[in-house]
Amino acid sequence: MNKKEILRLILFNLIFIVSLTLLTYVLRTNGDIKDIFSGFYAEKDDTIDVVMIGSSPVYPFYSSPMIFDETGISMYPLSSNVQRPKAMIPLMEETLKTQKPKLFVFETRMFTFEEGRMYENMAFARGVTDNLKYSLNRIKTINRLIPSKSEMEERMSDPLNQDQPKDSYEERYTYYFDIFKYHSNWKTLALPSQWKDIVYEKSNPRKGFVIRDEVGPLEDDEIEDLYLKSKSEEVVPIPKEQEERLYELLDYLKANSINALFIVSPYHMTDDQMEMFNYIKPIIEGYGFRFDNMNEEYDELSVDFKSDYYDYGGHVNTKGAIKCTNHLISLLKEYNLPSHKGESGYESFEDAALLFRQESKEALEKIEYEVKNGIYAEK
Amino acid sequence: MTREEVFNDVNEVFRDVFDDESIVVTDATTADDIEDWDSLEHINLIAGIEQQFGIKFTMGQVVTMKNVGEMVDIILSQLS
Amino acid sequence: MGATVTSFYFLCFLAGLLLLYYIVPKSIQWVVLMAGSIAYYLLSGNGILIIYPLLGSFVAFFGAYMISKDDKPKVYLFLTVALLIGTLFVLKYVNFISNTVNGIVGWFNVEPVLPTTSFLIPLGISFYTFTILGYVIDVYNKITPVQSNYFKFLTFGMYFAPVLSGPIMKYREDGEQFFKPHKLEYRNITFGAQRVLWGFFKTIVVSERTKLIADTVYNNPTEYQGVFVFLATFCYAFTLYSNFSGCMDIVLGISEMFALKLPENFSTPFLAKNISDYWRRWHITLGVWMKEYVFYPLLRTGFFTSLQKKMKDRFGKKKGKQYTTFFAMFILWFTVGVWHGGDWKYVVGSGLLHWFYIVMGELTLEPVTKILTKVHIDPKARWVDALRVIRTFLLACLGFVFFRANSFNDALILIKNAFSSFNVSRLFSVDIFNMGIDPIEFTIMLVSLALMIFISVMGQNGSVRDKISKKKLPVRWIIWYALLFYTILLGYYGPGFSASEFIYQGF
Repeated sequence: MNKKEILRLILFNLIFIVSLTLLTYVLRTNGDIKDIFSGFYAEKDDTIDVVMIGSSPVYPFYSSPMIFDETGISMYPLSSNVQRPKAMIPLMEETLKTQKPKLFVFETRMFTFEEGRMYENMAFARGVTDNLKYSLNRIKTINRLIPSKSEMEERMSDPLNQDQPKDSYEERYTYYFDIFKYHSNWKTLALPSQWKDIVYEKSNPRKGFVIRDEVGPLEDDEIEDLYLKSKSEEVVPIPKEQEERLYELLDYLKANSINALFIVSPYHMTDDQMEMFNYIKPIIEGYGFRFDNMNEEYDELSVDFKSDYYDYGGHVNTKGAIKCTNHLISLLKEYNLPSHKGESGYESFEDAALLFRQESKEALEKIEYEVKNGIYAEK
Repeated sequence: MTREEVFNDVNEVFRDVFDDESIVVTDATTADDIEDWDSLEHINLIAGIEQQFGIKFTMGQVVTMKNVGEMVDIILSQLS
Repeated sequence: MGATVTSFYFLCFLAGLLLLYYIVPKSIQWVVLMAGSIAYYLLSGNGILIIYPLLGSFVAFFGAYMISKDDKPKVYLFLTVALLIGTLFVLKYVNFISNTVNGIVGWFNVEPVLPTTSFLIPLGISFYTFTILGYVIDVYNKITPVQSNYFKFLTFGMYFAPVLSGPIMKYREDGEQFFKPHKLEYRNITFGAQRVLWGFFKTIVVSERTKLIADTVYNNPTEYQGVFVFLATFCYAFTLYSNFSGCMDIVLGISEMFALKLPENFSTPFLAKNISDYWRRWHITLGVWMKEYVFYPLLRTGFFTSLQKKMKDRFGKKKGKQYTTFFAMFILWFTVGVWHGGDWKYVVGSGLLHWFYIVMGELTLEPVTKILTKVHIDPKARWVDALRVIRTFLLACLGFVFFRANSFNDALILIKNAFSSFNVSRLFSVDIFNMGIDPIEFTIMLVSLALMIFISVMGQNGSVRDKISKKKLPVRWIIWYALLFYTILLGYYGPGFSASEFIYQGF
């Protein structure tokens, strides 16, 4: 083989690898989560002051456009469904590659979940790993989040998980090379919107916020129970593994002198979750960070479990989101964050704010109508 | 026997086995050149040649001979 | 790791081995192959079963050595063949005999008389046994160089690419190249990789799709009639062809990357004009092996020569000759059928049925030619040939019914159903999309199938890769990228698809 041939071989493979990478970005399953992450990558470097990390009680709960509209603070959520606390540090590191946030906000609902129980559907792990751009950090994230086959089998044989649906195990290499998973999405190649993800930077017009305009109310007795539960001052430890994760995160924040705020979004808590939040509160405060459990403040929030939720107590619709966002704004005000209103480079935030005004108005009207007429979301 | 004489006798056997009086074989003739020369007829051909010359091919020769030229060479070597 | 050569881990293994192969000193390249082959076999299935190919190769090596040295070659030949065939027979066919005997006594309402056992069968035993057995017999016939180094012989006998599904190699033709120095050549790497890609296309794009339709019908034999049985059977014919020949493309392509040339196993078999022709184009190396080591020796036994003489005296020269070969062919085809597996569906579908075809072909050749000439049809006309091709394909398909059916009885049910009601119109109704494949997938299947057939036919007049390599760089790169991405996007692999299997790996 001569030099020219070697060069040709390298070039052919290089083109192949690059195009395969870009193709995978296009093929990754489309949806809100993909738009949130690729939208984050599309943000200009060093323009985001607050990054919020957490699971599903983030993206429908807190509207970055509204926060900007009212305070000029630039916030962006890196949120995916059933996002395990294990993913928090990798996501922070991913953030720090392009942004210098002054504050990280962590939604802590998932700290109350048994790690093993979240293996039941590894598609949620893909929500994190398969929405990151290819990088060393992505490999590290996969190594951290994806159990080996034997580990997974051990977890699933735990009596605790006997009742859980069991995914077939997807080998770790299919996470590193996610084309193995997403090639069957080839039909999405017909969608121009997906081609915009070709470098995984697609501006998100709602800055990671997702409008929900359905209504799914709680029953009266459920609400009564919930209020009672929210008054509990008992303490129940969180799962051991999550406690380790929590300390790891807190130590990481301390070691890197990163400021953080921990919150719990208001929702229909089950089992001992309130008691678990009571358990982590002093731990977090011990590190000098603020911990705000909004489940202690239903009245201050004026949250209405009859009309503010779209899925029967789990996640808020836009009516609830406005209340939660208002509360978050009051919390953020204590951190002396700068206003970027009118500043150049933040035009897209101005646009998002305008869009939010319009869309939230429509959503509120729809919600009002549905509440009035008893039209509820599918359970 | 000269090579030419062997060739003539071989040709006769071919015509007889394949039932075709128009066959003319040369050194380079192979199974591809004669339509009916498949694995079935190959053995019949071998048997015909053996009978004609009163010789016996080894199994190795049967499977390795590539063309009529090689066949004639083997016959000549066995005759001498 | 899994034995399939289309698995991700296998590709990683291959890349590593290839790298090692070309960086070690040329004199020990074969050692890399040997180590790689052993590792592959160990990782492929039940590792302990490697004892079979290791011992089998040793028996063949030692037997051949004694045959070449000793003055009693016949004894050693007999012993070696008996040991190798004996192992194969015990592992694969003891149950066949038990099941058959038990089945026969079952007709008379008698309880099973023979026990069945289950052996762990080493992967690829039917293939590697034939490869090393051929060598032993060739040594006896003095037509092959004798290998005096066991490890070198092992390298040949266990070479990982063909060990699980062929092609069956001949030491006298393919053996010595393993021990020659091989330089890293651009052409070998690119052509090899291209052929591997083509094999992937055939297996994960074509075969896995046609398989869906075939499976739907063959797994519910009582529920489908008429055209659907035909459709499923044609789909299965192409499933088997694309799966097996695709696997061969991968095996031969890999070998090409290691600068090794292995014998071809396929040559557009569905274009054969008759069944004999078909077997010179389908699983070629098995046909050649059977011819050289079963058919020829059989016909040259004293028994057959005297039988032929008697038959000639009785039925005349031509008929006598024919009848004797029919008899020998019966044994040959029985063996071919049995080789495919210890089950009557194989003995019939891949063996005796084909024997019957060939016999009928021979017997009707003359009358048919006569009739054709009488009605002024040139028997050599192209359209007559085209009809012959179609006939041969249909006959082969009948064999596939037995080959694919879950049991011999299922095959009979399907054949009956095929002619019970023949609703051609339903073929163009929505029913066709209830067969495990939606309209879009169906279209992809047809397009891919057409591409495969087109390229295979084109390959008959010289290598397609050669033709492409003569084009300008942008053109040929576009062609290869197109095939690459077509296969990546439309292949059935990864989570959500059951891993593809090579049908012939079971043999």
